Amino acid sequence: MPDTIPYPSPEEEGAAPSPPEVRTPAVPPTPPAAAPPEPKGFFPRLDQKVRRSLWPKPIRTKLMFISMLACMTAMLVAGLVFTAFDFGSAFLTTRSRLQSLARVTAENTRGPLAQGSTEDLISALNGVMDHPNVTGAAIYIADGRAVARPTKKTDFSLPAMIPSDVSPGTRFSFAGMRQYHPIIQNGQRAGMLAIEVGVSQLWPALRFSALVGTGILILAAAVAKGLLGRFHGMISGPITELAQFAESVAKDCNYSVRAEKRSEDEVGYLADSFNGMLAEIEDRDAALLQAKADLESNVKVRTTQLEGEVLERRQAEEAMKDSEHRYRNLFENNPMPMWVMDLETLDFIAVNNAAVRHYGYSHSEFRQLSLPAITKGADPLDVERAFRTSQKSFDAGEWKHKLRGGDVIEVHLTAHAIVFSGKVAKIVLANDVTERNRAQRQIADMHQKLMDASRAAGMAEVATGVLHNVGNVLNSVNVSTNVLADSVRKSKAASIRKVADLLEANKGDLPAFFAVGGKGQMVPGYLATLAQQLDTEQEGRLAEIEQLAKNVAHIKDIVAMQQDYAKVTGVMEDFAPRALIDEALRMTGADLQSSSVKVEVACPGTLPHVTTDRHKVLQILVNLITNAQQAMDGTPLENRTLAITVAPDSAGHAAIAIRDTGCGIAEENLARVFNHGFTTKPTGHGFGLHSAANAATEIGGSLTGASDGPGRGAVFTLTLPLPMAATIQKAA
Amino acid sequence: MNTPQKASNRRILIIDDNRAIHSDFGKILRVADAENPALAAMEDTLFGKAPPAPASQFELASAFQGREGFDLVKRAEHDGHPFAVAFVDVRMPPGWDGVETIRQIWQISQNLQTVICTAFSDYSWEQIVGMLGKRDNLFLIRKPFDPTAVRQLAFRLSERWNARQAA
Repeated sequence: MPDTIPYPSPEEEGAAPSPPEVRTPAVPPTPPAAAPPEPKGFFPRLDQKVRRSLWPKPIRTKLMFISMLACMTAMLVAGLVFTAFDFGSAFLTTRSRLQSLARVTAENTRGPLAQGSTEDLISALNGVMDHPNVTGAAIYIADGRAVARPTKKTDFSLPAMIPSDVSPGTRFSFAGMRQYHPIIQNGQRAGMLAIEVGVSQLWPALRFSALVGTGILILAAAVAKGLLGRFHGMISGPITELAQFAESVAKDCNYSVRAEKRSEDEVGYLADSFNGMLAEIEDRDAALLQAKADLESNVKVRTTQLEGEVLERRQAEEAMKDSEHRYRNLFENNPMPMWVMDLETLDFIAVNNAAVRHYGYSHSEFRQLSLPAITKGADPLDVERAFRTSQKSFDAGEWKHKLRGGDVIEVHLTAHAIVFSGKVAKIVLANDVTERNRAQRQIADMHQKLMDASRAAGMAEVATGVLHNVGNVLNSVNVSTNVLADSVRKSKAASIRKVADLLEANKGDLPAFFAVGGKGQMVPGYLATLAQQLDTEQEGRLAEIEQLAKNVAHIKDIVAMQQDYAKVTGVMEDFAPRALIDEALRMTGADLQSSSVKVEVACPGTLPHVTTDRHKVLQILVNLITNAQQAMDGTPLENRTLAITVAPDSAGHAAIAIRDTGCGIAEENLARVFNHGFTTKPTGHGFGLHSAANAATEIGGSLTGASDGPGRGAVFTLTLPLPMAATIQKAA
Repeated sequence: MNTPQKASNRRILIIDDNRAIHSDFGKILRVADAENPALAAMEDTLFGKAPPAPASQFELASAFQGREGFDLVKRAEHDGHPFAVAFVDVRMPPGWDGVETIRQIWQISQNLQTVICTAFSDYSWEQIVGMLGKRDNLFLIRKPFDPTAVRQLAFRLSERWNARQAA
């Protein structure tokens, strides 16, 4: 979108006015920041100085300064309080020690003072002087004279004379502390003891406290700065971001962006408000643009209208009053293929350029043609009938049209009755729907494929389910069989033999055996109980067998269901019987050759094709050929012949007979060869012929076997329905 | 968990959606009721004493869905009568399948000796190990199963459980 757009004012509509600036992308000049507010407080000058120097600094620095200031002040006050407390407590401790020392010493010097023994007093005071920090001690008598005053340390000493009326208690000075304590004798003050301690030992402690305090202050400042550096971003970060964002919005004039809200505090609220403001600006901007666009289109419409009017006027001036001409103009330039055709003959009277482009016929070629001539796959009469209607406008439906290049397209025709060159004609509009229809057919095709795929998936699911069900039921069958075997093994029936043995052993003297007190007396009772027990066993077994039968029936049902299902999938196709036989021989060729079997095939070429399931027929034939080959294992090599003949039989079937010169089948076995599980082969299962016979039945044929007896070969005949006779046998 | 069981634990849980399978397990693992005592006494007098058959009574519990089995194991653990062995079917619609059931159960009972019963159409051993991880208390039997094999598994695995619990 250009920044400048012609913008006609209502007064000068039509003229080209000078383009005024609609939007000024210039960044508004930054207003000068207001001076820092008038300082108040205890140190107005300092306050003002600090504020001035901080005013242009970023929020980050301000925050840092304020936080550090608060932190340091707190630490300093805490340090001072701590130091004062420390000093005070040391001071108090010293005083209380001094008082108790004075008390004890006064007690100890009372005796010597009474006796006037100055030596004793001095030695007592020397003892006091030995205490650490004591710098002096003295005893004064009532008139204030010192009677004993040993001095130890040089810097401080007690005076030789004190006022006689000095009161007991503690005196403080910068150098130390002096304690006066009266020496009481017989309730009267006999003298005054003074002890003095220096406070010099307190100063190092105070210094140490101050040092530690300063250290902590510096450390705290460092830690606080570190922590602040870490956390002040929480406050200054979003603000800085917002500031940068605002700057970028102002620079790019892009109002569609939004500030990211980073916190739920005032800054977050600020971001929200800013976004609201942006939205408002954006809306107004859009409204402005819309108004501009509307105006622009209005101008265009009016211009077009004016042009139309001018054209009309010119047409009028050129005396082209015939409406047909204007009509023709619209008709010629229409992007949809259109033509005008005769109402009766459906000959093309006029075609437009789009029709020429689309169909490939030239205008003159079109004039030689009629609608029925280019319509494909429909009787000309049908075409005429479709257009012979009294309706003014009508939908003529979908048709296939030949193009000049030979391609065929599908078109949807709509017709309208008009007066053309004074005659009633039909104008027809053709809409090419070839692509649309192709797409629809593809969709339908894909849908079908999808349906097939889902069905196949469903089949696999069903098959798995069936296997699982059979597995479960087989489990029960297995268990039932075991239970039955166990029950028979443990049966009490064996006890009858034991009774018989007992009777046999006592055969010599049966009367004694059955006499009162003899073992024989128990026999009848035992037999009765045994009979009962055997009945119980029998009942249990019957119940188990019933269960077994039920389960077997269940498996049969499941398998039958599976077979029904499998049948549906069989595909019936046309085959020449000879081709099927050849295929079966190819599949068994290696075995036949290795056992030197001579193969003879007799199949009349005139035999019609059979409609059958190729897989099932091959399964049967391969089975029969393999059986025949194996039956000839004992036949001398030169006599091994496999003869396959095909002939129509009386029932209208194709009969494929497979004859071998093998071991033959005994008459009593002939009836059983198709039974499930019957086999004469050492490694056979007895399934082959059974399932082959089933398969033959399924495809509407039959399988029979015959033999002239052991050693005289056998013949198996498969019949397949021929199409003429086969009343189409439905699978299932 | 280390309190030794007073008697040997022979509690077995069967999880299978097929009721017939439960009765199969019952037939295999529940020894027939003691024979008629009167008959036995008479036989002792008439034919002399026979050696007593080894007694082996399993306690069976049934669940028909994976979730139900899980709840039973949970309750049993809570009551202090845990199961020693579980036989778990693989396909148990509509709930958890066997593999999921075992995964859940192992989270509350690590030592449970677990036998997974599958049909040939279900997972292979490698797939099951892939899903559950390699554990030495997981066994597999194929359906239809051999009753003797099931009885043997029940005996050996309950012994195994008891040995582990004592250790």
